[in-house]
Amino acid sequence: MSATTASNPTTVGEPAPAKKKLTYNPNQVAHTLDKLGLGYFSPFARLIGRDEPAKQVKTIAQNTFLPILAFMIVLLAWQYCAGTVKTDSQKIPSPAETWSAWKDMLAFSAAEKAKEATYYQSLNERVTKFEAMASQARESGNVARAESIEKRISKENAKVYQGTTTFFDQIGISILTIAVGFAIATLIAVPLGILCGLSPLVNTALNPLIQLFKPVSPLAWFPIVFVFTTWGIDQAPASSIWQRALFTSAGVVTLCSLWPTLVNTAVGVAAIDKDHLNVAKALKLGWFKRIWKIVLPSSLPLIFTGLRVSIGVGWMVLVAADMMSQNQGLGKFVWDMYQNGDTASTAQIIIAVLFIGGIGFMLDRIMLVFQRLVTYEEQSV
Amino acid sequence: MSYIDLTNVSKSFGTGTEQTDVLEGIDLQVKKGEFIAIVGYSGTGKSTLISLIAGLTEPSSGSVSVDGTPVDGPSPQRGVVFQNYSLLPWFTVKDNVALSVNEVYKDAEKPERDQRVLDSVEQVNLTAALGKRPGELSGGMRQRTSVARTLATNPDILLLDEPLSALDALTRSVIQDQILEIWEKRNQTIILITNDVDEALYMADRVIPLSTGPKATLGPEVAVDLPRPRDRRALHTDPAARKMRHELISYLLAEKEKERLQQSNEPVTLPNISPIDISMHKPSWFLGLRPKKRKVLQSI
Repeated sequence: MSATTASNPTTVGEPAPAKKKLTYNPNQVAHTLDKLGLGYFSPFARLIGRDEPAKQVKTIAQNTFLPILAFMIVLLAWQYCAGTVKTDSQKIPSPAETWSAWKDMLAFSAAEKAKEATYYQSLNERVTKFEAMASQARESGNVARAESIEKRISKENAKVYQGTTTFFDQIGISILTIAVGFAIATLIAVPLGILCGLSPLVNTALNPLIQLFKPVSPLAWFPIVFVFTTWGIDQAPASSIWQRALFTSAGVVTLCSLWPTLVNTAVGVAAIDKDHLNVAKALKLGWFKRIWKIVLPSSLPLIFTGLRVSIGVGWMVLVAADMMSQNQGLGKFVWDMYQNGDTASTAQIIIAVLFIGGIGFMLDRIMLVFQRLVTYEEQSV
Repeated sequence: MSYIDLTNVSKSFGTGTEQTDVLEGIDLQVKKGEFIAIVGYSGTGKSTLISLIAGLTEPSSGSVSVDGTPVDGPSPQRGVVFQNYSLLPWFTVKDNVALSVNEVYKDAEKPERDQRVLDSVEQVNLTAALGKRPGELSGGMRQRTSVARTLATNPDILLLDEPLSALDALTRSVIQDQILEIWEKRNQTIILITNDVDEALYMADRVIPLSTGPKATLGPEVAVDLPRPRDRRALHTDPAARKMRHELISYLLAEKEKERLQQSNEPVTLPNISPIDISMHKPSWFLGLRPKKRKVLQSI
């Protein structure tokens, strides 16, 4: 008992740490913001803490107005092109036209949602009416009638609204597709990369294959993946979640985005500090513990660097893959707009481009945050 | 037979033309509970010697045995404290120590294992830093964590590979005393590698110098029969201690001199140049040569 109290951290050595008083530390808040990829806001945090206000105001002004200036220049160039670049059937829409196309898209999507809501509402009303009829029939002893009505109810309930996929649905599908493709790529690339990093023999065996497949274009992979997913649809039961178009796109994303992660993981594992491995050796750590406690943590920063590159590549590839596989994503949206030849189409494509860029940027930021979170402070003095 | 026994041990790295012979003909006997210090210049194979005893590397020839059984691979019975701490930067002090405890006392209950971690951290006075990561610690605290990690498994032999050479003089003396205290309490056998003759004389029962490499070997040992606890200041005035220091330092200096001569006996190729004849035309510049690095060839 006495031993327990003696080694209790609060009773031995330095006095028990007093409850930390919550104070605003501008430096710390700014660093946290930087770490979260929100570096733009860190001068604001410093300004609130009165840390060199003049310098912060200048930084904020620079960070705000310079990008706005560049944006204005691009907008002017766009406006100029809109007046000049014209063919008989097509033209570059002006920023104003693009804006009105965007409002149309919003209105269309809202109308579509409203239609869907009305459909389900009337369906529900029908079902309630049938249910009342069924219970009435049952009460009056007409079992056969009740059963036939109940059959009708289950048929109605199985009905799904068959409307147009809106732009926002397509964004959702694109994100789902890249999530599937990226998850598969990670599950393949990280373990394989660890193997390559740990064993020079595995590395020697796989290196030529990696170098061979790494530069292949997504468009070249597409037909091959398509054969696999078509075969897969025959194998899978009809009611499964298997969707050929989605999995074809995801498969192409996987094949193109797994390489950066694979190579970075292999490098990260191979570059592990020899001292750390010596510790593992001296302690006689088992295989699993060695990987889990030493190899993985030490290579995580590089693994996440690879994952960040991978998700960027994957997102770029996805648009092309969606065009070819007719997966209901942003790529298909661009393709459909390109094909239909409407005057507003080019404007809608421009909006899609902005969304593709914005989402890609967000994905990159998310990975950046993860990357910074796993990067530990270096040990060396 | 001694407790730790190295007989005619040699170690070389690489093969063929790239082979370097690091150690040759090492004979070392250590009694149980003895504190041995090995001093030598850096880069002479001291760490290799520790690795051999620890079982991290195998000797090219000769034999290493501990307590009568030949060493084949590392064992928690022989704890190593590495020169550059080798803490895992993603773990806290507690987790770094727990890593070794959990490995050696796999079958023990969790409270017992936790207790061991806490005890050994307390032994090096780091309880306040239990939850900190190595990046937040000073050099001295890191090295103490490293010592705690090794002590936590209660090894019979402590192999200290220049544990203090990266620390400032004040921190160094504090940790020296901590190590001595632990040694007196637990009566382990300790082999300390160091490049500091004073540190060796202050701490060890016997000091053995290592000659300069390649093919480094152990020199004549000096038995430090000074009473304990020793006084750092007295070491500088005590005639016996001064004599020991003199012996060790002269050996090490002679080794360095030998190495220097060996290098200077190797022929130096001079650049093949002939002077420019400037009498023909008179340029506004002229080229001269001034040898900056000269070596006098030994005539004997």
